Formats: sequence, structure tokens, C-alpha cells
Amino acid sequence: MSNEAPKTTTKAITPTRRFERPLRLWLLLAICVAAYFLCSSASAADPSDFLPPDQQHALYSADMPAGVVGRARLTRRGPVANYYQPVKFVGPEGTMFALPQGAAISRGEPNLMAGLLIGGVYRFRVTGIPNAEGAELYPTVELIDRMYPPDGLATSYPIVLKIDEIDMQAALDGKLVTRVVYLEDPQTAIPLVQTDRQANVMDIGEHQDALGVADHFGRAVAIIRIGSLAPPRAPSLMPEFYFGYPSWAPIFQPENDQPTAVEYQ
Amino acid sequence: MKRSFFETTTVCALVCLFLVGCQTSNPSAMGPGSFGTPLIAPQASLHAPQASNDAQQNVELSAPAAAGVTQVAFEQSVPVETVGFANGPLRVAVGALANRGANCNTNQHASECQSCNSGACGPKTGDCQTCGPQGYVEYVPQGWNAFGVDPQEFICDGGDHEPKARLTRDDQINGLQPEDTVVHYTSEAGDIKFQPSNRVCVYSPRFASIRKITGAVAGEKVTGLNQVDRPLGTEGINKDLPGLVMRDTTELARADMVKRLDFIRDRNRGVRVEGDLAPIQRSNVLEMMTTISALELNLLLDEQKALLEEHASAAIAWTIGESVQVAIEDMKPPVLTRDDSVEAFTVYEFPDAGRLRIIKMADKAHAQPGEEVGFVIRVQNVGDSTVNNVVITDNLVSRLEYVAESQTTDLKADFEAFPNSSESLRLEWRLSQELKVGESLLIEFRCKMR
Repeated sequence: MSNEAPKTTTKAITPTRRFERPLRLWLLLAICVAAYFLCSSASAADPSDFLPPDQQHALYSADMPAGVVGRARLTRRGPVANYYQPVKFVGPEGTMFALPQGAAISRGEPNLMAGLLIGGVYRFRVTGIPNAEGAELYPTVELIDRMYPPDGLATSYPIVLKIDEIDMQAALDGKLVTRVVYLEDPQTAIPLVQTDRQANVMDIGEHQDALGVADHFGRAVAIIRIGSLAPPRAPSLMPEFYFGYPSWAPIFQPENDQPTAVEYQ
Repeated sequence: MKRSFFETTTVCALVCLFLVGCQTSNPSAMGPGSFGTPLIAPQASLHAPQASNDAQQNVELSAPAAAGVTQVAFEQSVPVETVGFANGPLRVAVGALANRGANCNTNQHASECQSCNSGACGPKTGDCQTCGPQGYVEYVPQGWNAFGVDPQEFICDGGDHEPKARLTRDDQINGLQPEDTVVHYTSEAGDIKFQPSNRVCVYSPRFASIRKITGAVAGEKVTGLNQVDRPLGTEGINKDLPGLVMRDTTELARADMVKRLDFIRDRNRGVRVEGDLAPIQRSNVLEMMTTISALELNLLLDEQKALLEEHASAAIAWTIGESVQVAIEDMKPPVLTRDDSVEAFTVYEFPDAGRLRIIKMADKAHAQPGEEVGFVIRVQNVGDSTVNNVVITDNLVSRLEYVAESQTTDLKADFEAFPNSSESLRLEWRLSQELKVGESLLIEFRCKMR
């Protein structure tokens, strides 16, 4: 029998070995924290967070095809669908406006009033253009928002769609005039007297978006596009020309509400 | 087997990278859900494998025996799963996502799918369950303008907006914003106090236009047609239509596109007001004055004491007259005596409580641009002491133009008008005398709606 002592192994614990386990835990924790921040920074990149709050049409512009902005408004909140918003067409003296009634189109009225649907594109006819005898224009109007008047005042305070002589002359010259009508913010309204025939208009450059500028000054409600497009000769193309004849409601004005020359002097 | 430190760290790093990859591949990390509903469907269909995994977990939770028969479970029940998007939860019918491609591509479900895509129905509708909604954001009816009023359509005047008005040492008012109507006075104790009026609003929307004329010539280059010669007059004449003529563009020798300032604004528009109720307006001045006299009911008159006594008696009669009584031998039970009548009427005196009430009203509820609107300001001392140095200030907004020589007062007051920051006027009435208890000052003026 051999009385051998049991083998014992001794291992010296070096200072490096002693700190290896806490170091490993710290490294693991650091990696997890870094991974968490990577994930959180990716999820925080929401594009809408960087848009100013008053940009109602941040993803749209007035240069988009007619009807895009109006139909996009129908997908947003608010009682805008199936509401006939009263509008009033106003032009220079002698100008007549007419909306199509089915395939026919009437002679026109000087200050045409009608109820239009938000989202629809309405092509109307302008005749009696000053300094352009016999010329006709067929602009389009697209309502992109509505008004919220008190009861009984809807037709008394329509959206005024004003077209002046500069617009019509530019359109007859082959240019495209885009007008974005907006409701003025009363806090930043232009301090000038305004009537129907003296509507405030602001000209912008070609590199600017009319809808974006209008969003800064108020609430955009309509887009008017005035070009020199003429109706097609083929009757089968007429529905396409008039954007499918969206329905509109006629509004008849009393005789004494017709503006007179004295009123606007 | 003992792992080395390098192996452990590598494994942990791989696990973390895998988690990061899962997070970034999740559509919620990209945040496009905030763009609206139309973008949601393609994303959901792109991530259909992940969605089907979620659905499988859902099925296993509800019916463990159905594991491995995921397709059957989809057709039987459509679990609605909440998928985490950046801006709140988005409810998606996960099971319907998987079989959307199978059913929606067939002609028989084309019309149903079209109605579902347009958002005309919710996820509980039978048609949409079969062909599949693609995910939608829950509609919250309490959105902006739930009450159908837009404050921008009203011209309001009155009140005291932040920062509040205060008087400086040189007798100037700071913090007077457009629309503000305040009165400041000196009480008997020498304190200078401000009191804002109520806001009066008139419905008067006004429109303006932004015009952009785009031609075919811009930046020395022809970007399209320069001009189209269009025949005028009668249509239907059989003549050749004019050709499209490109002209030389020599008009522009140099065209530098200068970036201009889009806008300069003095005030922020602020947040849209939610739940703003329609203002109550008076269109008749006489009716308005009647209302003001009704508000003067602040003294207890003799004929009102009988009414007060009656109400007090009724209050006593309505109280419970029973109480717990304890009977002890040879002792009388205590009797609780209650008040049988109003014995005293206490009037609390507040020393140096000089107070003014200022009410502002308009004679029209709505006005077209160009119309005149009459305003009435009534200042009354409703306190218990006389006040001095009463000054009424009305800072008009930009759309209100003061009609010259239209103001009148029933007490002697010095009137002055100063231009203000909103291109209108700041009206100021300085009362020449002190205002005793119960006395009132009536100011009337007219403004033209710009």
C-alpha cells in the first residue's frame, strides 16, 4: 500500500482572473445598453414629428393633379363628406360664370352661387372676359375644406372664388394660374379693407408652393386652376373634360342681393 | 464545457444584433404609419411572414391542438392582433392578412375588397373579414372641430391674453395684445388693478388668395409650350388646328432665382381650439342693456327677504328631524333643539374691495367685410369702495377699423387713439372723475369690418 497523499492542485488566482467575471458582466451590460439605444433611436425617427404643426397639407401641393388634395381631405377627420359648401364666383364687371348641368351649360350669371362638394373637381365656364371679346375660359375649382357658419348663415357667407383680369389674361396667353383660396387667420389678417371685388391676393414665385404658403396664412379651402384648355369636340370626351359632372346644388340669390356698381365704388 | 470570455461576448453580441435587426425590420421602427392609412396595407403585406407567426402564437394560445394547422385556423377565426406602431397601437386583423392575397385576387371578391380598401367598413364586417382589411387606424370621433366651429371664422375682441396687461412706472401698459380690452384703476388702498372684459365675437370670415402663374418660360429655358394659338369664336369650323410653336426665348437675358422670405409673422397661430363653443351674441342693443341690468342684482332688497325666508324655511322642513335619543332611568331624554327660523343675515365686509366689472358687447352677431359693427363697453363699480384713475383700453385687431368720431361716453372721459402693432388703433378712455360704488360708465363706438 502506498500511502500517497491525494493530489491537490492549487491554482493561483491572479488579479486579472479575479476581475475577469465582473468585467465580463460589465461588457455584456454595455452591449445590451448599446443595442437598446440603437433600437430606440430607430423607432424615434418619425417623419411627422419634424413637420410644423400648421402645415395642414405637408404631403401635398397645389401643383398636384386636380382632385388629389380634395379627396385627401375626405380621409381626414371632420364632417366634410356630402356637404354642399356654398361658393360664390366673382369676377370683373361683365364676367359671367356657368356650371355644367349635365351635358348642357347655361348662359351664366355675373355672381354665380352654388353648393359644391368637397373633393369634387368642378370645371366652369367664364365668358364676358374684359378686353377679350368672345373668349371663353374653362377653369377648374376644387374645394379642399369647408366652412362652419352658425345656423342659417351658410349662404350669406359663402367661399368667395374671385378671378380677376390678370388671371384671365395670363390664361389667355397660355399660362397656368393657380389660385389657392384660404380663410384668413384673424390674428394675422392683412389690415386692408376688402370687398368682393377687392380680394387680397398675394403673388408667389414659381419655386414656391401656393398651398404651402396658404397654409402659413390661414386655412386653405379651395384651389382654382385657370388655363386655356378648351372643351373637346368629341361628345364622348366631355365627361372626362368635366371630371365626371360632380353634383352641385344651385343657390338662387334674391334680386336685391345682386351687387350694384354703387356698392363697390 | 467552460466557455471562454470571447465566446460568451460573441454570443451576446450576436443575440443583441439579432434583436436590433428585428426591431429595424419592424415597420414601427421606420415610423411610416403616421403617413396615414393607404401606406399601411403594403407594409403589412410585405411583413406577412412575421404577421403569420404572430397569428400562429395567437392560435396556440386559444386552441393548443390547432398548432401546425395555421391555415385552417385563419379561415375559422380571424384574431385581431395589436401591432406596435410608432404613434400608438394599430389594430390589424392578422389572420386576414395571410389569406388576403388568396381571396382578394379573385374576381368574385373584387368588389368587396374594393369597398374594404376604401375604408368603408371596419374589421368586424363580414365582407372585410373574408377578403381582409389591411389594417386601419381607429377613428376617434372627438377630433378637431368636433362641435363644428372654427374660431378663425370669427373676429373677436375683448379679454386679456397672455402675457397679462400690467402698468409700468411711466403709466404705460405692457402686455396688451390685439383683441385685449382691459380697465385698470386705483383702489382706495392705492393698489393698481386690472380687470379684463369678456370676449365678444362676430362671425365674419374673410378670404384671400395665393396666386402662382406658371408659364412655359422659366430660368432661361423653355419648359414647355410657350403659347398655343387657340381659335376664338364659333366652334366647329373645319380648319386645321394650329400647330404647337416653340419660340426662341430671348426675353430673359439673366434670371437669377433668389430665394425669398416666404412669410414674416408677428404672432404664432397657436394650437387649434378643441371644443370651442359658439359665442353667445346679442344683436339688439336694448336687449343687451336689459341683460346688463339683470346682472346688477347684487343687493338684497326688502322684497327679496320674503323669498329668502321661504327658501330657508323649506330647507329646514326638508332636513331630517329625527335624532337618536337615549332614555336613562329617572332622567329626561335630552331634546335637540333646531333652528326654526332665520335669525340673522350675515353680511361680510371686505375692506378696500374696490372692484370693477367690465362688459363688452357688439350689436351684430355677424358682419360682412365693409359693414360697421357697434360696440358697447360698460364699466361698473361693483365693489364696496370708490375707485380712482379709471382707464379703459381697447386694443383693436387688424380687421377692425375704428370709425372716426363715433365714440360716446355717458360720463366725462378723455378719449385718445394710438396706432398699435396690428395696423389698427388702441382706444383709450381716461375717466376724469372717480367712480363711486354702484356707478357705471357706458362707452359706445363703431368699427368697420375690414
